[in-house]
Amino acid sequence: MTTVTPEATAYAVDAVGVTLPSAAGKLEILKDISFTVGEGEIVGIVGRSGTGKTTLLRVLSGLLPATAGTLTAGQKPVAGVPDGVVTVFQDYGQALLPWRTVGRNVELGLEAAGVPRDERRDRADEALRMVHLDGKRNDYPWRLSGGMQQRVQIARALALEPRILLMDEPFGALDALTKASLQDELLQVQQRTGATILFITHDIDEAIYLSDRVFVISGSPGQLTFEIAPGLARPRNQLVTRAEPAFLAAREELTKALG
Amino acid sequence: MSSARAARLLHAANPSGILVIVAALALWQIAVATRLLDLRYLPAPSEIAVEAGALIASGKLFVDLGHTLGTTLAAGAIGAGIGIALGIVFGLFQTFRLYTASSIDFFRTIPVTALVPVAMLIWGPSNMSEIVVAAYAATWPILINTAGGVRSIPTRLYDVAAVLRLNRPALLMKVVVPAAAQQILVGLRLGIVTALVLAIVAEMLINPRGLGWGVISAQNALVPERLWAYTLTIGLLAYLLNMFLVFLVRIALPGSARQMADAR
Repeated sequence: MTTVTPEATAYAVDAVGVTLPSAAGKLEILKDISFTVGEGEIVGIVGRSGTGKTTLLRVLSGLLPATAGTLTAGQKPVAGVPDGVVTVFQDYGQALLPWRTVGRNVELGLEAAGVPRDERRDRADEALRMVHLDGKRNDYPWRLSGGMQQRVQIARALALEPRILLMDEPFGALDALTKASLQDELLQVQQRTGATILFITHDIDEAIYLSDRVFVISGSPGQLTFEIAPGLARPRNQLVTRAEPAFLAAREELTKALG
Repeated sequence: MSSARAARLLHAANPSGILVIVAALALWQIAVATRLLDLRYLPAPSEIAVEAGALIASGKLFVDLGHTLGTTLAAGAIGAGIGIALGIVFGLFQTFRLYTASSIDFFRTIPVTALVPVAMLIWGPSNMSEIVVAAYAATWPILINTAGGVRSIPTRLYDVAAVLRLNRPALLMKVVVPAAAQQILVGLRLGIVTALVLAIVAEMLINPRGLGWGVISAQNALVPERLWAYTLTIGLLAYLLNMFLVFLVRIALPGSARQMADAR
Protein backbone atom coordinates (compact mmCIF):
# COMPACT_ATOMS: atom_id res chain seq x y z
CA MET A 1 0.00 0.00 0.00
CA THR A 2 1.19 3.47 -0.86
CA THR A 3 2.16 5.70 1.99
CA VAL A 4 0.23 8.92 1.64
CA THR A 5 2.20 12.07 2.32
CA PRO A 6 0.68 15.53 1.79
CA GLU A 7 2.91 16.33 -1.22
CA ALA A 8 1.77 13.18 -3.00
CA THR A 9 -1.94 13.45 -2.38
CA ALA A 10 -4.05 13.09 -5.50
CA TYR A 11 -7.36 13.56 -3.71
CA ALA A 12 -8.19 14.79 -0.24
CA VAL A 13 -11.86 14.40 0.56
CA ASP A 14 -13.06 15.72 3.89
CA ALA A 15 -16.58 15.30 5.25
CA VAL A 16 -18.12 15.60 1.79
CA GLY A 17 -21.88 15.32 1.51
CA VAL A 18 -24.34 15.74 -1.33
CA THR A 19 -27.96 16.72 -0.87
CA LEU A 20 -30.05 17.19 -3.97
CA PRO A 21 -33.57 18.53 -4.44
CA SER A 22 -36.03 15.82 -5.44
CA ALA A 23 -39.75 15.38 -5.92
CA ALA A 24 -40.04 14.31 -2.27
CA GLY A 25 -38.13 17.26 -0.82
CA LYS A 26 -34.41 17.27 -0.20
CA LEU A 27 -32.65 13.99 -0.69
CA GLU A 28 -29.36 13.30 1.05
CA ILE A 29 -27.35 11.05 -1.25
CA LEU A 30 -23.89 11.08 0.31
CA LYS A 31 -22.93 11.86 3.88
CA ASP A 32 -19.67 12.57 5.61
CA ILE A 33 -17.32 10.96 3.10
CA SER A 34 -13.64 11.36 4.00
CA PHE A 35 -10.59 9.77 2.44
CA THR A 36 -7.29 10.57 0.79
CA VAL A 37 -5.82 8.98 -2.29
CA GLY A 38 -2.10 9.04 -2.98
CA GLU A 39 -0.60 9.77 -6.36
CA GLY A 40 -0.28 6.68 -8.49
CA GLU A 41 -2.67 4.73 -6.31
CA ILE A 42 -5.47 2.59 -7.73
CA VAL A 43 -8.64 2.74 -5.66
CA GLY A 44 -11.78 0.74 -6.35
CA ILE A 45 -15.13 1.80 -4.94
CA VAL A 46 -17.79 -0.88 -4.51
CA GLY A 47 -21.30 -0.70 -3.18
CA ARG A 48 -24.83 -1.78 -3.90
CA SER A 49 -26.99 0.09 -6.39
CA GLY A 50 -28.38 3.37 -5.14
CA THR A 51 -25.70 4.07 -2.56
CA GLY A 52 -24.41 7.12 -4.40
CA LYS A 53 -21.25 5.71 -5.98
CA THR A 54 -21.88 7.47 -9.29
CA THR A 55 -22.74 10.68 -7.43
CA LEU A 56 -19.40 10.46 -5.59
CA LEU A 57 -17.54 10.03 -8.87
CA ARG A 58 -19.40 13.00 -10.37
CA VAL A 59 -18.32 15.08 -7.38
CA LEU A 60 -14.70 13.93 -7.76
CA SER A 61 -14.78 14.66 -11.49
CA GLY A 62 -16.07 18.18 -10.92
CA LEU A 63 -19.35 17.58 -12.76
CA LEU A 64 -21.41 17.98 -9.60
CA PRO A 65 -20.55 20.32 -6.70
CA ALA A 66 -20.52 18.85 -3.20
CA THR A 67 -23.05 20.47 -0.90
CA ALA A 68 -21.00 19.84 2.24
CA GLY A 69 -17.35 19.34 3.16
CA THR A 70 -14.16 20.13 1.28
CA LEU A 71 -12.50 18.45 -1.60
CA THR A 72 -9.11 18.97 -3.22
CA ALA A 73 -7.60 17.39 -6.30
CA GLY A 74 -3.82 17.79 -6.56
CA GLN A 75 -3.89 20.19 -3.57
CA LYS A 76 -6.34 22.53 -5.31
CA PRO A 77 -9.97 22.89 -4.26
CA VAL A 78 -12.31 21.28 -6.77
CA ALA A 79 -14.51 23.82 -8.55
CA GLY A 80 -15.52 22.54 -11.96
CA VAL A 81 -13.51 19.89 -13.74
CA PRO A 82 -10.03 19.90 -12.11
CA ASP A 83 -6.82 20.14 -14.13
CA GLY A 84 -5.40 16.75 -15.02
CA VAL A 85 -8.56 14.82 -14.15
CA VAL A 86 -10.43 12.92 -16.87
CA THR A 87 -13.49 10.72 -16.44
CA VAL A 88 -14.38 7.59 -18.40
CA PHE A 89 -18.06 6.64 -18.44
CA GLN A 90 -19.70 3.24 -18.47
CA ASP A 91 -21.93 3.89 -21.48
CA TYR A 92 -19.31 4.11 -24.20
CA GLY A 93 -22.10 4.01 -26.82
CA GLN A 94 -23.35 7.39 -25.61
CA ALA A 95 -19.99 8.82 -24.63
CA LEU A 96 -18.36 8.54 -28.06
CA LEU A 97 -19.27 10.95 -30.86
CA PRO A 98 -20.72 8.73 -33.61
CA TRP A 99 -19.99 11.26 -36.37
CA ARG A 100 -16.28 11.31 -35.55
CA THR A 101 -13.83 8.59 -36.42
CA VAL A 102 -11.95 6.82 -33.65
CA GLY A 103 -8.94 9.08 -34.17
CA ARG A 104 -11.01 12.26 -34.13
CA ASN A 105 -12.83 11.10 -31.00
CA VAL A 106 -9.50 10.64 -29.28
CA GLU A 107 -8.39 14.10 -30.46
CA LEU A 108 -11.46 15.89 -29.10
CA GLY A 109 -9.96 16.82 -25.74
CA LEU A 110 -6.71 17.85 -27.43
CA GLU A 111 -8.61 20.14 -29.81
CA ALA A 112 -10.25 21.79 -26.83
CA ALA A 113 -6.82 22.25 -25.26
CA GLY A 114 -5.58 23.98 -28.40
CA VAL A 115 -2.96 21.34 -29.25
CA PRO A 116 -1.69 21.82 -32.85
CA ARG A 117 -2.91 19.35 -35.43
CA ASP A 118 0.30 17.34 -35.92
CA GLU A 119 0.90 16.92 -32.23
CA ARG A 120 -2.77 15.98 -31.77
CA ARG A 121 -2.38 13.23 -34.30
CA ASP A 122 0.78 11.88 -32.67
CA ARG A 123 -0.69 11.90 -29.20
CA ALA A 124 -3.91 10.25 -30.37
CA ASP A 125 -1.91 7.55 -32.14
CA GLU A 126 0.17 6.99 -29.02
CA ALA A 127 -2.96 6.72 -26.87
CA LEU A 128 -4.55 4.29 -29.33
CA ARG A 129 -1.37 2.17 -29.27
CA MET A 130 -1.58 1.98 -25.47
CA VAL A 131 -5.03 0.38 -25.71
CA HIS A 132 -4.02 -1.77 -28.71
CA LEU A 133 -6.27 0.01 -31.16
CA ASP A 134 -3.66 1.24 -33.62
CA GLY A 135 -5.06 0.65 -37.07
CA LYS A 136 -8.60 1.59 -36.05
CA ARG A 137 -8.01 5.35 -36.25
CA ASN A 138 -10.15 5.84 -39.36
CA ASP A 139 -13.04 3.57 -38.35
CA TYR A 140 -16.25 4.90 -36.89
CA PRO A 141 -16.75 3.84 -33.27
CA TRP A 142 -20.14 2.23 -33.88
CA ARG A 143 -18.47 -0.22 -36.25
CA LEU A 144 -16.36 -1.56 -33.36
CA SER A 145 -17.19 -4.10 -30.66
CA GLY A 146 -18.18 -2.90 -27.19
CA GLY A 147 -14.75 -3.68 -25.78
CA MET A 148 -13.05 -1.70 -28.54
CA GLN A 149 -15.42 1.22 -28.06
CA GLN A 150 -14.57 1.36 -24.37
CA ARG A 151 -10.88 1.26 -25.33
CA VAL A 152 -11.49 4.29 -27.55
CA GLN A 153 -12.97 6.14 -24.61
CA ILE A 154 -10.01 5.20 -22.43
CA ALA A 155 -7.61 6.31 -25.19
CA ARG A 156 -9.46 9.63 -25.41
CA ALA A 157 -8.79 10.13 -21.71
CA LEU A 158 -5.16 8.96 -21.97
CA ALA A 159 -4.44 11.35 -24.84
CA LEU A 160 -4.82 14.19 -22.34
CA GLU A 161 -2.11 12.58 -20.19
CA PRO A 162 -4.23 12.82 -17.04
CA ARG A 163 -2.69 12.59 -13.60
CA ILE A 164 -5.97 11.23 -12.31
CA LEU A 165 -8.28 8.89 -14.19
CA LEU A 166 -11.82 8.45 -12.89
CA MET A 167 -13.87 5.56 -14.23
CA ASP A 168 -17.55 4.86 -13.62
CA GLU A 169 -18.09 1.11 -13.96
CA PRO A 170 -15.79 1.12 -16.96
CA PHE A 171 -16.12 -2.58 -17.78
CA GLY A 172 -19.63 -3.14 -16.44
CA ALA A 173 -21.23 -3.58 -19.84
CA LEU A 174 -18.63 -5.99 -21.23
CA ASP A 175 -18.43 -9.78 -21.36
CA ALA A 176 -16.12 -11.62 -18.95
CA LEU A 177 -13.25 -12.27 -21.39
CA THR A 178 -13.17 -8.73 -22.75
CA LYS A 179 -13.37 -7.45 -19.21
CA ALA A 180 -10.34 -9.49 -18.14
CA SER A 181 -8.18 -8.28 -21.01
CA LEU A 182 -9.19 -4.66 -20.44
CA GLN A 183 -8.39 -4.99 -16.74
CA ASP A 184 -4.87 -6.11 -17.60
CA GLU A 185 -4.49 -3.34 -20.18
CA LEU A 186 -5.56 -0.80 -17.60
CA LEU A 187 -2.91 -2.06 -15.17
CA GLN A 188 -0.26 -1.84 -17.89
CA VAL A 189 -1.32 1.68 -18.77
CA GLN A 190 -1.23 2.70 -15.13
CA GLN A 191 2.25 1.26 -14.75
CA ARG A 192 3.44 3.21 -17.79
CA THR A 193 1.81 6.52 -16.95
CA GLY A 194 1.83 6.45 -13.15
CA ALA A 195 -1.67 7.93 -13.18
CA THR A 196 -3.89 7.76 -10.13
CA ILE A 197 -7.01 5.71 -10.85
CA LEU A 198 -10.30 5.78 -9.00
CA PHE A 199 -12.99 3.55 -10.35
CA ILE A 200 -16.44 2.33 -9.45
CA THR A 201 -17.50 -1.24 -9.93
CA HIS A 202 -20.24 -3.70 -9.02
CA ASP A 203 -17.75 -6.51 -9.30
CA ILE A 204 -15.94 -7.27 -6.02
CA ASP A 205 -13.36 -9.47 -7.77
CA GLU A 206 -12.57 -6.71 -10.25
CA ALA A 207 -12.11 -4.22 -7.42
CA ILE A 208 -9.68 -6.51 -5.58
CA TYR A 209 -7.80 -7.50 -8.73
CA LEU A 210 -7.12 -3.94 -9.86
CA SER A 211 -6.87 -1.93 -6.66
CA ASP A 212 -4.32 -1.01 -4.05
CA ARG A 213 -7.27 -0.17 -1.81
CA VAL A 214 -10.97 -0.93 -2.04
CA PHE A 215 -13.62 1.31 -0.47
CA VAL A 216 -17.13 0.19 0.37
CA ILE A 217 -19.98 2.65 0.22
CA SER A 218 -23.26 1.59 1.78
CA GLY A 219 -26.43 2.88 3.29
CA SER A 220 -28.77 5.65 2.33
CA PRO A 221 -27.37 8.30 2.41
CA GLY A 222 -24.23 6.55 1.24
CA GLN A 223 -21.31 6.51 3.63
CA LEU A 224 -17.83 5.09 3.43
CA THR A 225 -18.22 2.07 5.70
CA PHE A 226 -15.22 -0.14 4.97
CA GLU A 227 -11.77 0.01 3.48
CA ILE A 228 -9.29 -2.73 2.69
CA ALA A 229 -5.82 -2.89 1.16
CA PRO A 230 -5.56 -6.40 -0.29
CA GLY A 231 -1.77 -6.16 -0.77
CA LEU A 232 -1.59 -8.36 -3.85
CA ALA A 233 1.67 -8.99 -5.69
CA ARG A 234 2.40 -7.22 -8.98
CA PRO A 235 2.28 -7.77 -11.84
CA ARG A 236 -1.18 -9.23 -11.47
CA ASN A 237 -2.20 -12.32 -13.34
CA GLN A 238 -5.79 -13.28 -14.01
CA LEU A 239 -5.23 -16.88 -12.86
CA VAL A 240 -2.51 -16.61 -10.22
CA THR A 241 -3.65 -13.40 -8.52
CA ARG A 242 -7.24 -14.52 -8.24
CA ALA A 243 -6.08 -17.68 -6.44
CA GLU A 244 -3.85 -15.87 -3.94
CA PRO A 245 -4.89 -16.30 -0.29
CA ALA A 246 -4.85 -12.49 0.11
CA PHE A 247 -7.30 -12.19 -2.80
CA LEU A 248 -9.67 -14.71 -1.26
CA ALA A 249 -9.40 -13.12 2.17
CA ALA A 250 -10.17 -9.68 0.73
CA ARG A 251 -13.12 -11.08 -1.15
CA GLU A 252 -14.51 -12.62 2.03
CA GLU A 253 -14.14 -9.41 3.99
CA LEU A 254 -15.68 -7.29 1.24
CA THR A 255 -18.59 -9.68 0.81
CA LYS A 256 -19.26 -9.41 4.54
CA ALA A 257 -18.91 -5.64 4.45
CA LEU A 258 -21.43 -5.40 1.63
CA GLY A 259 -23.81 -7.52 3.73
CA MET B 1 -19.55 3.09 -66.70
CA SER B 2 -19.70 -0.14 -64.73
CA SER B 3 -22.82 -2.25 -65.13
CA ALA B 4 -23.59 -1.89 -61.41
CA ARG B 5 -23.55 1.87 -61.75
CA ALA B 6 -25.74 1.69 -64.85
CA ALA B 7 -28.22 -0.48 -62.97
CA ARG B 8 -28.27 2.03 -60.12
CA LEU B 9 -28.91 4.92 -62.49
CA LEU B 10 -31.69 3.00 -64.18
CA HIS B 11 -33.16 2.27 -60.78
CA ALA B 12 -32.92 5.94 -59.81
CA ALA B 13 -34.62 6.95 -63.06
CA ASN B 14 -37.40 4.50 -62.18
CA PRO B 15 -38.53 3.33 -65.67
CA SER B 16 -41.81 1.83 -64.41
CA GLY B 17 -42.75 5.16 -62.83
CA ILE B 18 -41.97 7.06 -66.03
CA LEU B 19 -43.99 4.57 -68.05
CA VAL B 20 -47.10 5.39 -66.01
CA ILE B 21 -46.64 9.11 -66.62
CA VAL B 22 -46.17 8.61 -70.36
CA ALA B 23 -49.23 6.37 -70.50
CA ALA B 24 -51.34 8.93 -68.63
CA LEU B 25 -50.25 11.71 -71.02
CA ALA B 26 -51.06 9.50 -73.99
CA LEU B 27 -54.52 8.71 -72.62
CA TRP B 28 -55.11 12.41 -71.98
CA GLN B 29 -54.03 13.24 -75.53
CA ILE B 30 -56.30 10.57 -77.05
CA ALA B 31 -59.26 11.51 -74.86
CA VAL B 32 -59.09 15.16 -75.88
CA ALA B 33 -58.30 14.48 -79.58
CA THR B 34 -61.22 12.06 -79.95
CA ARG B 35 -63.50 14.46 -78.09
CA LEU B 36 -64.15 11.72 -75.56
CA LEU B 37 -63.28 14.37 -73.03
CA ASP B 38 -64.70 17.64 -74.30
CA LEU B 39 -64.17 20.40 -71.75
CA ARG B 40 -63.89 23.91 -73.05
CA TYR B 41 -60.74 24.79 -71.12
CA LEU B 42 -58.95 21.47 -71.09
CA PRO B 43 -56.24 21.48 -73.77
CA ALA B 44 -54.46 18.40 -75.07
CA PRO B 45 -50.87 17.76 -73.88
CA SER B 46 -49.60 18.52 -77.37
CA GLU B 47 -51.15 22.01 -77.24
CA ILE B 48 -49.60 22.59 -73.80
CA ALA B 49 -46.25 21.49 -75.19
CA VAL B 50 -46.48 23.95 -78.06
CA GLU B 51 -47.32 26.78 -75.67
CA ALA B 52 -44.52 25.76 -73.30
CA GLY B 53 -42.13 25.75 -76.25
CA ALA B 54 -43.16 29.32 -77.11
CA LEU B 55 -42.71 30.41 -73.48
CA ILE B 56 -39.27 28.85 -73.39
CA ALA B 57 -38.29 30.38 -76.74
CA SER B 58 -39.32 33.87 -75.61
CA GLY B 59 -37.33 33.41 -72.40
CA LYS B 60 -40.34 34.39 -70.29
CA LEU B 61 -40.61 31.03 -68.56
CA PHE B 62 -36.99 31.24 -67.38
CA VAL B 63 -37.42 34.76 -66.07
CA ASP B 64 -40.47 33.66 -64.05
CA LEU B 65 -38.75 30.46 -62.94
CA GLY B 66 -35.67 32.45 -61.90
CA HIS B 67 -37.79 34.84 -59.85
CA THR B 68 -39.64 32.08 -57.99
CA LEU B 69 -36.55 29.96 -57.42
CA GLY B 70 -34.49 32.97 -56.30
CA THR B 71 -37.18 34.05 -53.85
CA THR B 72 -37.49 30.50 -52.53
CA LEU B 73 -33.77 30.16 -51.93
CA ALA B 74 -33.44 33.61 -50.35
CA ALA B 75 -36.41 32.89 -48.08
CA GLY B 76 -34.97 29.47 -47.26
CA ALA B 77 -31.65 31.05 -46.30
CA ILE B 78 -33.34 33.61 -44.05
CA GLY B 79 -35.51 30.91 -42.50
CA ALA B 80 -32.44 28.75 -41.98
CA GLY B 81 -30.54 31.53 -40.23
CA ILE B 82 -33.37 32.38 -37.86
CA GLY B 83 -34.67 28.82 -37.45
CA ILE B 84 -31.32 27.21 -36.70
CA ALA B 85 -30.22 29.93 -34.28
CA LEU B 86 -33.51 30.03 -32.38
CA GLY B 87 -33.87 26.26 -32.57
CA ILE B 88 -30.50 25.75 -30.89
CA VAL B 89 -31.31 28.27 -28.15
CA PHE B 90 -34.76 26.70 -27.73
CA GLY B 91 -33.28 23.21 -27.56
CA LEU B 92 -30.52 24.13 -25.12
CA PHE B 93 -32.19 26.42 -22.60
CA GLN B 94 -35.15 25.29 -20.58
CA THR B 95 -35.89 28.81 -19.36
CA PHE B 96 -36.11 30.08 -22.93
CA ARG B 97 -38.43 27.17 -23.76
CA LEU B 98 -40.62 27.96 -20.78
CA TYR B 99 -41.15 31.54 -21.94
CA THR B 100 -41.44 30.99 -25.68
CA ALA B 101 -43.02 27.56 -26.24
CA SER B 102 -46.61 28.88 -26.25
CA SER B 103 -45.84 31.77 -28.61
CA ILE B 104 -43.96 29.49 -30.98
CA ASP B 105 -46.78 26.96 -31.00
CA PHE B 106 -49.28 29.72 -31.72
CA PHE B 107 -47.35 31.40 -34.52
CA ARG B 108 -46.28 28.21 -36.23
CA THR B 109 -49.79 26.81 -36.36
CA ILE B 110 -51.36 29.89 -37.99
CA PRO B 111 -51.86 28.86 -41.63
CA VAL B 112 -49.30 31.11 -43.30
CA THR B 113 -51.68 31.81 -46.18
CA ALA B 114 -53.77 33.79 -43.69
CA LEU B 115 -50.79 36.08 -43.17
CA VAL B 116 -50.37 36.87 -46.88
CA PRO B 117 -52.87 39.80 -46.72
CA VAL B 118 -51.03 41.11 -43.65
CA ALA B 119 -47.79 41.27 -45.63
CA MET B 120 -49.68 42.92 -48.49
CA LEU B 121 -50.90 45.71 -46.23
CA ILE B 122 -47.48 46.29 -44.68
CA TRP B 123 -45.12 45.97 -47.64
CA GLY B 124 -47.46 46.26 -50.61
CA PRO B 125 -47.25 44.21 -53.82
CA SER B 126 -43.49 43.78 -53.62
CA ASN B 127 -40.71 41.20 -53.58
CA MET B 128 -40.32 42.14 -49.93
CA SER B 129 -43.80 40.87 -49.11
CA GLU B 130 -43.16 37.66 -50.96
CA ILE B 131 -39.81 36.99 -49.28
CA VAL B 132 -41.15 37.80 -45.82
CA VAL B 133 -44.08 35.41 -46.21
CA ALA B 134 -41.93 32.61 -47.64
CA ALA B 135 -39.17 33.11 -45.06
CA TYR B 136 -41.72 33.12 -42.24
CA ALA B 137 -43.12 29.84 -43.49
CA ALA B 138 -39.65 28.31 -43.88
CA THR B 139 -38.55 29.27 -40.37
CA TRP B 140 -40.90 27.01 -38.39
CA PRO B 141 -40.06 23.56 -39.70
CA ILE B 142 -36.36 24.47 -39.45
CA LEU B 143 -36.74 25.80 -35.90
CA ILE B 144 -38.83 22.86 -34.70
CA ASN B 145 -36.54 20.24 -36.21
CA THR B 146 -33.38 21.94 -34.95
CA ALA B 147 -34.81 22.21 -31.44
CA GLY B 148 -35.86 18.56 -31.55
CA GLY B 149 -32.43 17.51 -32.73
CA VAL B 150 -30.72 19.50 -29.99
CA ARG B 151 -33.03 18.20 -27.27
CA SER B 152 -32.45 14.60 -28.26
CA ILE B 153 -28.68 14.87 -27.72
CA PRO B 154 -27.81 12.38 -24.95
CA THR B 155 -26.94 14.24 -21.74
CA ARG B 156 -23.85 12.06 -21.54
CA LEU B 157 -22.32 14.07 -24.39
CA TYR B 158 -22.49 17.19 -22.23
CA ASP B 159 -20.64 15.31 -19.46
CA VAL B 160 -18.05 14.26 -22.02
CA ALA B 161 -17.65 17.82 -23.24
CA ALA B 162 -17.20 19.00 -19.65
CA VAL B 163 -14.61 16.40 -18.64
CA LEU B 164 -12.68 17.07 -21.85
CA ARG B 165 -12.84 20.77 -20.97
CA LEU B 166 -14.57 22.05 -24.10
CA ASN B 167 -15.49 25.71 -23.79
CA ARG B 168 -18.91 26.96 -24.90
CA PRO B 169 -18.11 27.69 -28.56
CA ALA B 170 -16.38 24.30 -28.85
CA LEU B 171 -19.34 22.59 -27.19
CA LEU B 172 -21.64 24.24 -29.72
CA MET B 173 -19.57 23.61 -32.85
CA LYS B 174 -18.01 20.25 -32.02
CA VAL B 175 -20.86 18.58 -30.16
CA VAL B 176 -24.28 20.27 -30.36
CA VAL B 177 -24.42 21.18 -34.05
CA PRO B 178 -22.99 17.92 -35.43
CA ALA B 179 -25.12 15.85 -33.05
CA ALA B 180 -28.25 17.65 -34.29
CA ALA B 181 -27.11 17.89 -37.93
CA GLN B 182 -29.30 15.13 -39.26
CA GLN B 183 -32.47 16.73 -37.93
CA ILE B 184 -31.38 20.24 -38.86
CA LEU B 185 -31.00 19.06 -42.45
CA VAL B 186 -34.44 17.44 -42.41
CA GLY B 187 -35.83 20.78 -41.20
CA LEU B 188 -33.99 22.64 -43.97
CA ARG B 189 -35.48 20.42 -46.63
CA LEU B 190 -39.02 20.86 -45.29
CA GLY B 191 -38.44 24.59 -44.83
CA ILE B 192 -37.26 25.22 -48.38
CA VAL B 193 -40.12 23.22 -49.93
CA THR B 194 -42.56 25.19 -47.73
CA ALA B 195 -40.92 28.44 -48.86
CA LEU B 196 -41.59 27.48 -52.49
CA VAL B 197 -45.28 26.86 -51.78
CA LEU B 198 -45.67 30.21 -50.04
CA ALA B 199 -43.67 32.08 -52.68
CA ILE B 200 -46.14 30.84 -55.30
CA VAL B 201 -49.15 31.72 -53.14
CA ALA B 202 -47.73 35.21 -52.59
CA GLU B 203 -47.13 35.61 -56.34
CA MET B 204 -50.73 34.63 -56.99
CA LEU B 205 -52.20 36.94 -54.39
CA ILE B 206 -49.93 39.96 -53.93
CA ASN B 207 -46.72 40.10 -55.94
CA PRO B 208 -47.42 39.92 -59.70
CA ARG B 209 -44.22 38.14 -60.70
CA GLY B 210 -42.89 34.62 -61.10
CA LEU B 211 -44.55 31.31 -61.82
CA GLY B 212 -47.50 31.92 -59.48
CA TRP B 213 -48.40 35.09 -61.35
CA GLY B 214 -47.92 33.22 -64.63
CA VAL B 215 -50.68 30.80 -63.62
CA ILE B 216 -53.04 33.55 -62.50
CA SER B 217 -52.53 35.81 -65.53
CA ALA B 218 -53.07 32.85 -67.89
CA GLN B 219 -56.26 32.05 -66.04
CA ASN B 220 -57.43 35.66 -66.28
CA ALA B 221 -56.57 35.75 -69.99
CA LEU B 222 -58.47 32.48 -70.54
CA VAL B 223 -55.42 30.79 -72.09
CA PRO B 224 -55.55 27.28 -70.62
CA GLU B 225 -52.47 26.04 -72.55
CA ARG B 226 -50.34 28.67 -70.85
CA LEU B 227 -51.96 28.00 -67.47
CA TRP B 228 -51.10 24.32 -67.78
CA ALA B 229 -47.57 25.07 -68.93
CA TYR B 230 -47.00 27.16 -65.80
CA THR B 231 -48.69 24.69 -63.48
CA LEU B 232 -46.64 21.79 -64.80
CA THR B 233 -43.47 23.91 -64.53
CA ILE B 234 -44.28 24.55 -60.86
CA GLY B 235 -44.81 20.83 -60.31
CA LEU B 236 -41.53 20.00 -62.01
CA LEU B 237 -39.68 22.68 -60.03
CA ALA B 238 -41.03 21.40 -56.71
CA TYR B 239 -40.16 17.83 -57.64
CA LEU B 240 -36.61 18.65 -58.74
CA LEU B 241 -36.01 20.97 -55.78
CA ASN B 242 -37.10 18.29 -53.34
CA MET B 243 -34.96 15.68 -55.08
CA PHE B 244 -31.97 18.01 -55.07
CA LEU B 245 -32.42 18.74 -51.37
CA VAL B 246 -32.70 15.04 -50.51
CA PHE B 247 -29.44 14.54 -52.39
CA LEU B 248 -27.85 17.54 -50.67
CA VAL B 249 -28.91 16.32 -47.23
CA ARG B 250 -27.35 12.95 -47.99
CA ILE B 251 -23.98 14.36 -48.98
CA ALA B 252 -23.98 17.01 -46.26
CA LEU B 253 -24.55 14.50 -43.45
CA PRO B 254 -21.57 13.90 -41.21
CA GLY B 255 -19.67 10.85 -42.46
CA SER B 256 -20.93 8.35 -39.94
CA ALA B 257 -24.59 9.27 -40.24
CA ARG B 258 -24.34 8.83 -44.00
CA GLN B 259 -22.67 5.47 -43.59
CA MET B 260 -25.30 4.47 -41.06
CA ALA B 261 -28.05 5.53 -43.45
CA ASP B 262 -26.39 3.61 -46.29
CA ALA B 263 -25.95 0.52 -44.12
CA ARG B 264 -29.69 0.35 -43.53
